[in-house]
Amino acid sequence: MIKTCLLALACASLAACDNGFLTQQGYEPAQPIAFSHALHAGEMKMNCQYCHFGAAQSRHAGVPPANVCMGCHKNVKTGSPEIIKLTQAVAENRPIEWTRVHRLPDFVWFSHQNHVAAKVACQTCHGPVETMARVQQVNTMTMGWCLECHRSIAADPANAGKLNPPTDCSACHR
Amino acid sequence: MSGHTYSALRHPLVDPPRSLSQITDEIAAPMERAPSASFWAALGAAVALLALGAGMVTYEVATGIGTWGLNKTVGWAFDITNFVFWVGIGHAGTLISAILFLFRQKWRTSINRSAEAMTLFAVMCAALFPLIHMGRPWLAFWVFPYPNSRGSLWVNFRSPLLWDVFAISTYFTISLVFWFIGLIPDLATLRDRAAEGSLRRKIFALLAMGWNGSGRTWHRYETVYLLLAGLATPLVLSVHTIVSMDFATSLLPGWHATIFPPYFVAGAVFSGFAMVLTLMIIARKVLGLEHMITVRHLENMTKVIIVTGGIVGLAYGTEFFTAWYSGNPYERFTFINRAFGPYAWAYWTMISCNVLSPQLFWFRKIRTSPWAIFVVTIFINIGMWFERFVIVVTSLHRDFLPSSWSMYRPTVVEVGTLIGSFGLFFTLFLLFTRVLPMISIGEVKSVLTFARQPAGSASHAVPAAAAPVLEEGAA
Amino acid sequence: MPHDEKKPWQSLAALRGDPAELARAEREFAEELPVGPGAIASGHAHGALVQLRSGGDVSRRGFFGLMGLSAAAVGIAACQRAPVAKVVPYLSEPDGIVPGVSNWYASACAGCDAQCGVLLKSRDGRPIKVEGNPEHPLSQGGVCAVGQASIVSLYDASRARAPLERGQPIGWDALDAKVLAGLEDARSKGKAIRVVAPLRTGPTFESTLAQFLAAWPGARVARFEPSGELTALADAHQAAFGARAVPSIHLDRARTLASFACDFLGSWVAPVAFARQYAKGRALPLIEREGGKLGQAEGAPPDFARRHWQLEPALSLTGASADRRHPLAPSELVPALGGLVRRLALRSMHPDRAAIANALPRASEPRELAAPLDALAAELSASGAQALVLCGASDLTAQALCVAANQLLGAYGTTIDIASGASLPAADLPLAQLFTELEAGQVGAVIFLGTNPVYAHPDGEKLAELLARAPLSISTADRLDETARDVALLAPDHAPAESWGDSEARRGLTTLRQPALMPLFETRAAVESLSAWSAGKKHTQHELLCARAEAELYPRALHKEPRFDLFWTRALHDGFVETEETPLPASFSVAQLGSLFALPLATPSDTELWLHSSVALRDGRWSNNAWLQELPDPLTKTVWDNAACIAPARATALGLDDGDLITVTANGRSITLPVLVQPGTHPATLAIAIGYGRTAAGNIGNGVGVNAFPLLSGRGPARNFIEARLVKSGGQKPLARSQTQASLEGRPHIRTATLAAWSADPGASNPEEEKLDSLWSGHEYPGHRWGMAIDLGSCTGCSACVISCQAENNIPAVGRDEVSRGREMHWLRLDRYFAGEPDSPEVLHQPMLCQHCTNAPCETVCPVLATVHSSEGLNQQVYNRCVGTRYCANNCPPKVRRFNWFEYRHDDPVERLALNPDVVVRSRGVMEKCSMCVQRIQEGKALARRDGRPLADGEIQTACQQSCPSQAITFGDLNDPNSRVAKLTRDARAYRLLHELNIGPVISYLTRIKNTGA
Repeated sequence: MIKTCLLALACASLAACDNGFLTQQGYEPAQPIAFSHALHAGEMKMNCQYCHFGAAQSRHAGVPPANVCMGCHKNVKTGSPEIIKLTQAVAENRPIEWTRVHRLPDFVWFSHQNHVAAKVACQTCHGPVETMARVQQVNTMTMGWCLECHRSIAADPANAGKLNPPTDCSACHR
Repeated sequence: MSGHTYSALRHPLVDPPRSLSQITDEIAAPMERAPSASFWAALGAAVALLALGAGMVTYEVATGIGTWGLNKTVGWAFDITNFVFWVGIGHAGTLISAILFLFRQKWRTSINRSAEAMTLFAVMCAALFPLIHMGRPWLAFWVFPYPNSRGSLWVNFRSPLLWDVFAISTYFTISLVFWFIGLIPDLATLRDRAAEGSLRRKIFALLAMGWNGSGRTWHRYETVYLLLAGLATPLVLSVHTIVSMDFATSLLPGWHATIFPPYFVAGAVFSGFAMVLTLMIIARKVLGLEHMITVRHLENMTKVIIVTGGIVGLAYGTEFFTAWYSGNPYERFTFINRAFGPYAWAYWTMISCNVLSPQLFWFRKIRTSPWAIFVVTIFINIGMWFERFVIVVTSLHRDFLPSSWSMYRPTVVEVGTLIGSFGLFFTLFLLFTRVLPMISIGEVKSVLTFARQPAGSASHAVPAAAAPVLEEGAA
Repeated sequence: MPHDEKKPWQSLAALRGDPAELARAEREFAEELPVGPGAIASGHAHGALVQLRSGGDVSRRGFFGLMGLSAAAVGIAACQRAPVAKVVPYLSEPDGIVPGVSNWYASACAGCDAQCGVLLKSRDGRPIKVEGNPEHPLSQGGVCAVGQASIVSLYDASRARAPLERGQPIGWDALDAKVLAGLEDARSKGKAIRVVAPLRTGPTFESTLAQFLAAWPGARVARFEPSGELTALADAHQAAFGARAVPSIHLDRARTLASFACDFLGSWVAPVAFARQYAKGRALPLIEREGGKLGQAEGAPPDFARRHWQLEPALSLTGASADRRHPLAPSELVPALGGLVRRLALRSMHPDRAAIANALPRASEPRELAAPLDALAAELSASGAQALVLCGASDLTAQALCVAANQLLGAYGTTIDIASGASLPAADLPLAQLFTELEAGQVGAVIFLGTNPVYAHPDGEKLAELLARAPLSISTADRLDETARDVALLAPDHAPAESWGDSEARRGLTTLRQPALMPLFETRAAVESLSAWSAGKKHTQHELLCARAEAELYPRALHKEPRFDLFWTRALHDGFVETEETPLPASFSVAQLGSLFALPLATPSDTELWLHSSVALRDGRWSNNAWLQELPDPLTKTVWDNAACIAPARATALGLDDGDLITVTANGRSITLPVLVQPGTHPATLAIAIGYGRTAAGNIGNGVGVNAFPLLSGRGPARNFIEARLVKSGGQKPLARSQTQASLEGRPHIRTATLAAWSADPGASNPEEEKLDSLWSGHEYPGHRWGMAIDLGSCTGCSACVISCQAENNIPAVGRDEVSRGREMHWLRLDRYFAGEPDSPEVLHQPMLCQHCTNAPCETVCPVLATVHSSEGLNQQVYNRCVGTRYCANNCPPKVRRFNWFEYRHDDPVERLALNPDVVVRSRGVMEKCSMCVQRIQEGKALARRDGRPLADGEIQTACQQSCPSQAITFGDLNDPNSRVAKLTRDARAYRLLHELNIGPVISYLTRIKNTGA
């Protein structure tokens, strides 16, 4: 009796540890330059891949090189203090150290390219970035969360023959 | 209604006879007198061994399994050998307390308590090894099925290792409960003997769970005990059956054998009884309980050993027969390699200890001489350890592809860990002899020979189990 | 949760096919997806093309690559409460570099002098893998173990990181000043200026060297080749044809091949190219078998006359593949060759036959060889021009006899050709003379161009002392090696992958080397140093190469281009240039050749030393390479050591056993090393591998094994016919071996048949599998089902696959002690067994890797589901789920699973650059094994999906398959009945390991066929 209670308790706590209140969900670090996705992606409706062009060709979507920003900001809003940080960095040939928001453990192999090719909306995983002044991790990014999507899409008859997201271990773990 | 009359055909189980109160005093004595120097010496030695083992395990977990002598071919050796060895030891307890109880073997009464304690301690030692043999023991909890955020990722119910997890934990739980229930009346006795308001009394009072020795309590108690005995009985078979499946369900020649379950169970009982005897013979001497753990007890157990030893011997033979009869070249090679390969010394140690030495018990003289029995049982303990070593290592080190054949040599760390497990075992057992009655007071009284009781107390002749309560409850 | 609202929104849109919705979805991802050059590069990676790159910006690319490393290798530490991590993007992205996408650069391998064409897989500006260049005319996509392992040498932490003077850092300018001053001083004092250069360097290097010599009149070059093989070969041909060149050899045209101690599959001249030709020549047609019925033969029928004879003192990789093999003592080599030439002269119609016969040495061949030589001579002359005689001995007489034999057979022009050979620079100054000059104190300056004679010359110690007498001594080694330690100045050279260069593998074929990364350290290419030390303007290596290309290659190129830059871009893309050349002037003269026959012959003795290059370490150049040190020798299976191999009979006679220490004395020098009883060794032979016993190779290679070169003291590099004394010196040094059991115990894991038996029944010695019933319904493989076929007939056991696998999958080297405990980590190993007579055994090789069983025994026993079956038939090992019970390994019949016994560190900042970012580095306590390069499979599928095309057969290649010089490994989709692998799996020769256990391996082995019959 007591023993079973203890066992149940143990299981519960283990489950809790594994059930994602230890994930980075809600993580919203400050960035060296207060770049606003709400402004660029939201108001100005810039295509995500205009800056994150890596997403279509590589596992890494990548943070855009400073020269991409400078493409516009050579002459747009050059006066704003945040842009000045940018221009200084370029002038001093000093790379900008952004703080990473979304991050998977390195035993997980994730490819943006594959998901872009499958026409998955960026927001599906990253949340409504176009509304965020400062980017936040919206989802748990746990394995269960990934599989949920993979399974439901595979199960959807509409995707038969078109999409079959893998659920093999080696799709992400190699 | 003194229904109990002494039959000349029956040897008394307590000899020379004692009065009820004498029994209580004698069994309680070790707990009430200050421990002797020899006890401290023994405990000190045991704890030293335990410390050694603890050190070795810490080192291994901190550094890696590489500190053991294993290699790409031999993935298990001392670790699983020790595991199976200790689980085997753990078998006698339940057998004696449950099966012999159901068979109304009254001679069990004076040994079942310590046998059960031994079971628990042995299983603790056994459980240690599956844990530390893991490459990443800190993730051992992954072998339990629990809801998780991996979608959910469950355990592999096809894996014998998982069956082990359940088998061993069940076995340990039931044995613990069984043992504790059996203790309750004695705990009450000790409670009543302890000085009013003393800490000792408080503790025992807590443990005795308000036992009041009334007829109804006794009735409920015996019903529960009977039921638990019924529950525990199948475990005696199930646990080692499942342990044997770790090997039997694999496809390694020398492991992949259908006779493993009965073979392992018999072996377990065999080794278990040997260990019980080893301990009893020391304990009865040291604690002066010869009259309760009589030569007759010892003799009965040696008979069990002859039988189970015979079964084990038969199993060894059968293995060779099936290997030959199967016509499977890999099987054949494995067994020839066992008997004549580089590990032949281990194999023949096993044979001489497990098959030859028990044959001495055919002689009454040896059956009835405690020290002769002691020596033989030591051999059996050694032999049964080697049996597991032979099964695990000789099957692994030369399997299908000659290219990966290799040799295994244990390291200091492995030997130290084995020694440490004995340290753990003896430490626990020694402590047990001091803090709990190592013979069931209540049950022993039920087998007293009333016909030989001192005059005057005959009027007290009542259903045996109740008797002690009338006496001490009043005291 | 947001994704919960989005998901139905997404699929519903698709479900309804609502055009508006779909359009929205479309707009989300611009159709004009930026498919940049990076994408092109990786797209072509499988077509094994490389990205077009003009050389100029390589350094910039490398620089940005290294800078962007942090962006690519993101998320290093993995724990749930993650420490704050940074992302550092480029300031301005170099074109063609996309973090996470590999670029491929065609280049030349520098593992040995063969200079095979390779593709360097570069990720984020750092090369991580060497692959063969399939378009290269010679190596045709193969790379040997040494080439594969050169990645480790590139990131070798022991490399010199700056120019040094007596071990102290010194700037390049200061160094150049000192050098020029020293040279000037030497000239003014009328002292000699001497250069010690390798035998084969490459045209650009030679021309730069010539400029240097021109700048310093009186300066002379001594050539140094540790093994002395090419020297002897070239000298013999100079005598015979007046052309000092390495002939080009066509094994595929040779019907009868007689090899006298020539290890052309292991280490001789160009093993990869030879292995490819060899396999091509012996390829068998594919004959499918279904239910006992045989299908149509696919491919040319075999040539029954084709046979390979090997006569050698000690078992070599080549001898292991031979159809007929005869052991002979080193001293018998010349007599045997002489005997053969005599026999051939009798049968030949060659005008010079009499002259040759008369010039022959009087030594009569040993009696026991008479019969085989008769048979051999008969077969050779029967094949006539389609026969070939090779000799691996670095002995002039032997090589000369070899030339004579081929001349008599008329082989020149068909199987062997001098006119299209690779010409070597004329012998200028014999090294021996340098010694005397140094001794006399006549040398004012000596420059060692990447040569290490102090280690590799028999009298290296003496040289070390003499060097002190030269006022100026310089080495361009890449590290403080034995020679560099004793010279004044070290001008460290780039690693090959950092430098430009060219080489002439055969006349009219120039292989180009282009760098794949910015130099890691403050090093400078040796050619740049040379040009800096010549009078006049300094040139960069790129300028030097381009200049030569424009002057020499561009005009004569077979493939014309309107402009040089177009030509150059194309050339770099291809990695080689073919030019039309006038054939080397070569006219045969007996007189010259005959004079060589007369060289003194060795007197037979009961202990004769046979020093040979090992497959892994060759001449010891790469001794600081852990992968090569830990590569089990294909024949002895020893690692991290060289041993003295002796014949079993001799061992019993001397009471010696494996690991017993002996002292070998020859030419007044002694070495002590362990004995290894090796079948196939001639009783009189004591075979020792060179390339070991380095003292200044670096922290890994120092003190591994014993240096055998000194045993040749006073004899120069001619390595053979050394009478030696052998003394049991007592004591033991147990050898670390990856395999200790040499016999198959009569088990059918490797199946062999003679060509005759095969032609009678293609399923010879390979009964068809009987169908086994199963309670299982079995797995379903809706999409692909990956499988592999390994042709034991083609596999030579060269072990290139082992290193290729190690490089691809971040497999650690664990060191001598761990291997001797049986804990090497290789996912793919080569099993080696001996059969038959111990003095001349049959050698069987079998690549052994995870069989990816259909009913995998490992899968059922794992308690935590860390190893499971994939929907494509792969047996997946999930490292991050593994708790390390090792039950799977115990239950694995071929024992291919590897356990991480300790934490194998990859934390050297330089060495870790070699790690493949697509494969996880495993931690302690975890099981690992072959994944069939699942990362390559996934990449291939992803690319096909992105380009919206079906996956082509052969598009995905596993690492082991890609580099296999003899193309023994085929990988592909078994669900596609027409795939190559599916056909091979149905071949009558195909069998599966331990199928009777009903584990259902997806790897098929093909029976080994040898033409041993009469």
